[in-house]
Amino acid sequence: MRRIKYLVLAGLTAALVLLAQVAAASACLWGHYQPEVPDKLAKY
Amino acid sequence: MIARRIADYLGEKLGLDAETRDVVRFGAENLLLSCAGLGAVTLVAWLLGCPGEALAVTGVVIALRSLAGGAHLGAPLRCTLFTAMVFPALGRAAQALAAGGHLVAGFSAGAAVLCLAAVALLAPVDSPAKPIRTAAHRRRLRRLAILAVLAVALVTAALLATGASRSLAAALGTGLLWQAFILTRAGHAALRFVDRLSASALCHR
Repeated sequence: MRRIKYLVLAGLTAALVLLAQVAAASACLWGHYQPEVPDKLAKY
Repeated sequence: MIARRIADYLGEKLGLDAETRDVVRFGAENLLLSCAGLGAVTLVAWLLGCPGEALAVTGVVIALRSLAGGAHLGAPLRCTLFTAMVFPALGRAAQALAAGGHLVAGFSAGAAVLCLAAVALLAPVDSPAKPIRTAAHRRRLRRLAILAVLAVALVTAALLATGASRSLAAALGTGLLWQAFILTRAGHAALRFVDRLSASALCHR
């Protein structure tokens, strides 16, 4: 059970990191507020 | 904020460093804001009786704004409320325009030309929270934004030529006009005004 929880959390984290990468490569978020981009992704 | 809590929870459970937690926070913030915006637009548009048109406007803005950028508000709650008011209103405007009959083709063509000019001259418009750092990335985004405007114009022409839906075609046009507007100085000034107006009422939430 603990292993399944770990895998689910790891999968969620990977999805959020992927989403962050895609968002960092775009001009901005589609809504009317732009979250602060992390230094680690500020390469574009 | 919720995104920070999610990132801290995942960071604690998986042993992530501070930098990776910040990346996860950014991903979660983008996801939550997108879901909240889309949910709010759908709800208000459903209440106003224009969900298809409002979602068509939203679709155009999602496609174009990610590439061309534009003006922003200063806080997430203000953003969600503003988005939930503007896009359904544009959807209703598209419905009214479509009821006018012959106007839609001319309006859509005008909107496409205006948006194309605005994107070619001004895009990408970045924000202080997410500056675009390289000229190559800037050029790539502008080229993709121009292609996106042409793609929307093509879909609009197809909708009008087949007679599938005049109101959806008008909605795509209003989406293009909104995107063109928020690239301009006037668009930035308008959003700054909305920011100031709502800041005191919502206390920076």
